[in-house]
Amino acid sequence: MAAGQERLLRRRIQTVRSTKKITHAMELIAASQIQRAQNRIRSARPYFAGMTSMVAEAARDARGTAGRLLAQPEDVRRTMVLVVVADRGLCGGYNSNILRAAERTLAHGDSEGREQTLVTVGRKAQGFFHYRGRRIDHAFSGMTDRPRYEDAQTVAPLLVDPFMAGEVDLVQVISMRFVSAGTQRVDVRDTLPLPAAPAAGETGTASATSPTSSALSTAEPAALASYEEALARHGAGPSSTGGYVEFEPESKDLLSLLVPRYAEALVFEALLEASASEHTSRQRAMASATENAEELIKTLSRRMNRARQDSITTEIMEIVSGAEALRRATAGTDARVEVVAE
Amino acid sequence: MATSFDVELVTPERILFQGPAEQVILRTREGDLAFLAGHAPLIGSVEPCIVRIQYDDASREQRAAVHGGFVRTSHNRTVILAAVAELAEEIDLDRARRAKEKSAQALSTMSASAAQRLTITQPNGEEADVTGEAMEAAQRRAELRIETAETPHF
Repeated sequence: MAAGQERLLRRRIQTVRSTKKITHAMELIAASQIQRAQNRIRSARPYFAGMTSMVAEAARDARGTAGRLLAQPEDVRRTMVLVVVADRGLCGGYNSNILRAAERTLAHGDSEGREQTLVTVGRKAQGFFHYRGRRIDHAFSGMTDRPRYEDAQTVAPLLVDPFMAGEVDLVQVISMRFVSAGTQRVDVRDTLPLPAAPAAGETGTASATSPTSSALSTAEPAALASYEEALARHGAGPSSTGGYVEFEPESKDLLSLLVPRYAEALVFEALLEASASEHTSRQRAMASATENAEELIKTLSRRMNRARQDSITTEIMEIVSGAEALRRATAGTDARVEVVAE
Repeated sequence: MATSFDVELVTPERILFQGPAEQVILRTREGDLAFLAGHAPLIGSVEPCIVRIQYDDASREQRAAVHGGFVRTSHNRTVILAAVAELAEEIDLDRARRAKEKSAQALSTMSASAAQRLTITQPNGEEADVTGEAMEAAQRRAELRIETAETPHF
């Protein structure tokens, strides 16, 4: 019995060891992906920042003439929700955190009686929403591992076109934001219509920012150039460009050209950050899985060694007692033989 | 010596050009536009065109195929944002020629209706449905690439 247990433990250790090999490999792969994903976010930031400030300036100029784009709807009846998760699991709470936030948002929409259109990126969202009986209007996969700009060009029109056509009142994007290597958070962001420009004077200090450094400084990769920030810079007080800016074509037409590209940039940004966050979560999850496996191997080895020691001890005991019995038996027989012989 | 100003050509993937230049020529909806130092603040849309950035005392020129985008200039700083753009020397001319041929072929098999969809085989072997419109856009991009790469250097 003891030997059987030893064999069993040996087999389990072998299993854990090969699992550890896999998790460790995944950890290393994820780690290298993080680096690349972070670099891509960094190289994309000048474009996002430029796009954001351009939209902000056009929006400021077009205030009152841009129609739906800038008007905050009084009554939101139809919304478009984009959820970005991973294609695969094994990345800790990454998917479930996003999906839980998405479900909360959707449930809130339901309670408000909104008609909601759901667009998902990432295979993990499909099973989740299918199980909950939610209809997914468009589902994409294969994008978050290494997002390409074309992916954003595929997804963005699904959000922008219905909005421009007046079929939805609000576009929301739910995804993981890559704040830093140590911090990622689930973000539910109202994307369209564009946030209202703050009235002049509301952010008086913002205009003090140096105009040349505002739009495209690559030196601050950590700063998330949000639309609101750009608005704060450009929307208040005297414009960063000195008051008068020529628009070609005029701002409201320019805005309707800009917004589809802006939406692409937003989706691309969301995909890139989701990708970096996913790899980070996976690396962390796999690192702790590897650590766990090591711990498990240690415990199991200890148990196996004890089992082996036990079985050896038992065996020795058996041999000794067997020999003893044999000796005694032989002695007995000899004695008897002796007796008979006598 | 002509006065220079800061020029940036930026795509979502990377910054294609960054540095001082004397003149930038590009096409807007209204027509060709040349930017010199001290240009009045302007934000405009850029049509698919060859963007020409003249630098080093206008002795050198950087050309780039820009497939539509936006330009913003203020405070002696001109920024061109393009979703898709390539520097002339980085264009794969053979690939562009092949792409043009393929799209031309695909378009010729289609009926006049641009909304019709057709199935093409992508470079990665997957098949994709595209509209005639998208195919035409692909052809225009290929043509612009060829034109950019073939324009003589100076």
